[in-house]
Amino acid sequence: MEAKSIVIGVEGMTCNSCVQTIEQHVGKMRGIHNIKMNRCYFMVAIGMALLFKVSLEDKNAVVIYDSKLQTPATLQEAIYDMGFDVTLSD
Amino acid sequence: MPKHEFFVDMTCEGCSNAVTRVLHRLGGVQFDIDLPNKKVCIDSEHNVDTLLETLKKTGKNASYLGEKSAQ
Repeated sequence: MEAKSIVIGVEGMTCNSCVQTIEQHVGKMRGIHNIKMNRCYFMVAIGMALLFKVSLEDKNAVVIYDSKLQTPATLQEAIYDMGFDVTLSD
Repeated sequence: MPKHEFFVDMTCEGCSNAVTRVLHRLGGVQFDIDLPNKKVCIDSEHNVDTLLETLKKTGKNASYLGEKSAQ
């Protein structure tokens, strides 16, 4: 299992429900270890300490994934499919 | 063209933009989005399942309200 991390720029998130939608959606994908932000953190604590952090202002998400199960392209496509514009900045 | 009405749990402009984008990518649809009432009215040849599937891609829960009578 080779964990890799990638920074994906996400355009079009304006409220925290968009943030949570992406976190839950991407978080459920196979091989995703963690989806979080690098600069400012917006901690979403739902029940147990769920370390998913996506920030609105920063508009990008750092995803740590298993490179055998996911690739930058599939991750980008997953968020793109949800209706957000995605830019890869690794 | 049949006019279908859907409920989509949109809470802000960003969510309605996401719906707009996924519908544009589907193509072959004319739609208007009523954010306050969380309704999306779609004029399209696509069947309801395809439209519902597309709306659900945004990660929001969506349901079919029925065919809209031409007002």
